[in-house]
Amino acid sequence: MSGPVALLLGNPNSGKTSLFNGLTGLSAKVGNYPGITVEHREGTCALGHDLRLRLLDLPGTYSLAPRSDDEAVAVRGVLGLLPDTPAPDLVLCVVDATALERNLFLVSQLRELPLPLVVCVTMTDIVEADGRSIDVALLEKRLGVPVVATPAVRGGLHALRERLRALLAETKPRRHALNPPALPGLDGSAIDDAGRALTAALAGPGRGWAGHERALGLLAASMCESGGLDKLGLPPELAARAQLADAARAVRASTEARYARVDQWAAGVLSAVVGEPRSVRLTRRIDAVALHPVLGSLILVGVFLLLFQALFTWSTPLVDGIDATMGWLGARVGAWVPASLPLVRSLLANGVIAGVGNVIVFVPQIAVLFLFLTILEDTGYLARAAFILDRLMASVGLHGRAFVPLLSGFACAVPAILATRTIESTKDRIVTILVTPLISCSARLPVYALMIATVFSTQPPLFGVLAPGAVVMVAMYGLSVTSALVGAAVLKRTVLKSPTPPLVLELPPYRMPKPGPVLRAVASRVRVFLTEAGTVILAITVVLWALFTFPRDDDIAQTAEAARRAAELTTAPGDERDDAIAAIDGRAARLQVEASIAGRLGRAIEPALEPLGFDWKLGVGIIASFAAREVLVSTLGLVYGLGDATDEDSTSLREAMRADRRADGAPVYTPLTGLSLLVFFVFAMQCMSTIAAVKRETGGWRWPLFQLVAMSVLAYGASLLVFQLGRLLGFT
Amino acid sequence: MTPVITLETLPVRTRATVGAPSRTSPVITRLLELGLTPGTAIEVVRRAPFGDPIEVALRGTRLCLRRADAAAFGVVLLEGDGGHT
Repeated sequence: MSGPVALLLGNPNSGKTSLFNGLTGLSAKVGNYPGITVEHREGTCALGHDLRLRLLDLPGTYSLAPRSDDEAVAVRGVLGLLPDTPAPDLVLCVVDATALERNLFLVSQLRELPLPLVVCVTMTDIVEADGRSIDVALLEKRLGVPVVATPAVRGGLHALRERLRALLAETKPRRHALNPPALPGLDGSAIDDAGRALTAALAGPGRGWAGHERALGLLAASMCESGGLDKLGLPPELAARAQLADAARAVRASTEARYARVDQWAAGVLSAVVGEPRSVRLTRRIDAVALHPVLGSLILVGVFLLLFQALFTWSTPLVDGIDATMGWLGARVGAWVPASLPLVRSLLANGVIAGVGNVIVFVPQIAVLFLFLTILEDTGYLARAAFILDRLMASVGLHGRAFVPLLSGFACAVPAILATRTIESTKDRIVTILVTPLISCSARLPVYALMIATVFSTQPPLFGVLAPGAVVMVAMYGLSVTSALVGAAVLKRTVLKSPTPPLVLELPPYRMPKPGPVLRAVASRVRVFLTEAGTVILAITVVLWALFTFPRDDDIAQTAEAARRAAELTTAPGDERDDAIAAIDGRAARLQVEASIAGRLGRAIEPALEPLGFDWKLGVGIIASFAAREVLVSTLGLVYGLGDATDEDSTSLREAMRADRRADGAPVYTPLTGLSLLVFFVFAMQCMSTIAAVKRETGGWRWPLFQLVAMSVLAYGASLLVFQLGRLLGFT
Repeated sequence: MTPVITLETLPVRTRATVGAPSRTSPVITRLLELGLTPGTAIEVVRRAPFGDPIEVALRGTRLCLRRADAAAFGVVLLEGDGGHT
């Protein structure tokens, strides 16, 4: 794509995204910069048939001193430091008329840099509904750059397009910058030195930073003071030189001086209003309830209960539908492939189609979660939730925004990990991503249910009243929550050492979310998951299929075929014959699994699993359940010769498991084995889809592998402790 | 005589002007950037249900910040408001 490049910059919640959508229409694309996990959106804006502007929507930022990775991307964009992106020809800065001074602060920083700037004033319709008027011409005169009001109607955008076109048509682009603020009582030489270093680092054709050392020096100092300089990927010696500058004092002095400038700019631009503006009143009234000490907490619980209900229950019919459709499709494709090619048939049905099913089965929950999150974010409620929950979350060193992913983790870690995007600090995001899979997700429920039904339902009630199964279930959930919170606290003090994230949060005015942008955000989230995490899930499914399919033992199939024919000859058609054939098929499937690589692996790791109380059959189950935890149940069905359509309610599976004996005649499934296995599943990272999601969200294999190893060690150690301690205490 | 009070101890719904912060940190700088500059009119709107953080109104916007950070900002009560003397 050629043509001039414009950056779209502005405060969070300033209407920047609506403006971007209005200017680019349907051409917008979401993507990642190479090496940066922050997403960016890009589109083209037609300014006439001969002129197309390439428009980049940068993450919202309050200042050019970045605090988060998102904000750092905005600053990198301004400085022309983004990979694969040229230096901008134009910067479009969005200014929210309802928070004029704070938004003009960002303009004041941009105004000190030699960049052609256009200011778009949004939310003018809200200001006018409040009975106030805004003098755009006055603001333009004071700022010295084009200022266009862009209300949420089409006419506003037309005027903006005209101004952009006119500006780009000028042969010599306007680059006159305002003088940076004076720093009374401060020696500016260190600042200028840092500015010269930054200028040198930014050197490139047509950049024109020379002569603006003071402005760049102040920028370097403020980035240095906020810890943002290392986020820009600049040479390390520059960081060292900027450190020399009296950064903190210079930043403070320049911020105050800029606000003095902003106050002059803003004076009289908005007409005064008698009493409280309508928009402010609405937000105040809602907050009187939504942030009320008692009512507010109840509403918060209610909102999250609804989210929980949606994740657990409302997405179930869709998930079941996808499972059924994929099963049906697998059978159809299987029938379509000639029987002489059993491997191709099996690869298509159990490898590829099952793999695609494993990917799209997450779509309903991801869509539901992001529908909720986007609506909560766009209305302004998510910021309120963080305000209420900050005290609780800060006690484990996490941001209030980490609450949503952790809660969603009870349904499924995959959408929950995708939801960590709202957490600003990278380290805090990674901590949240790492502990989220410890929260017991819904895929563990079938495993819990099977083990509880098999070994605990026959035990006498505790204290005469408590069902042991219920107690065990509550204990497993308690263990999972405790381990996630303790894990976060430990990670925050060790591997990802960082202070409790600061809380400086804007509580934006309540606004009605627009259906179009909400659906667009949900669709883009789903698309990114399907294309990026989906490929990994599909690949691992095929690998697992191969582990369970090879080597193929033709004798097993032939023996089964002969036995089937014999059964057809000796028994009359009916239930008896069906049962006999089912038993033969089950036996053949069991023998095939035993002969497969996975079966041999299960036997090979049996010595390692024995101290946990597991036998090789559970070893096979644990290997298989890497596809998804609930697969343990159907795999146990397979190795007990009951076929792979077994579920956790199957009484024959429970009976087969209870009847199973070790070499010494002792039962395999005792309450102690059951407890050990449950604890294993609480901690173990038995989920390839979670790994794929973590890889996608952390931008590499480092963290998913760390997580896999750490959780596996934790699971093994905890199970070992439970089983061995239990034996010492005399349990069996 | 006006007692020394900070944004942390400023009673809810009392108008005041912000003074210069007593210390520097990235959070304090961000608060300055968000408009908590000396002389700005400010009001504590409410405290969160667990007592921390607090919500403040300034320059037509609402912000929340932790009490530990608010303690760095001295405030001067505005005449006619909250003066119980």
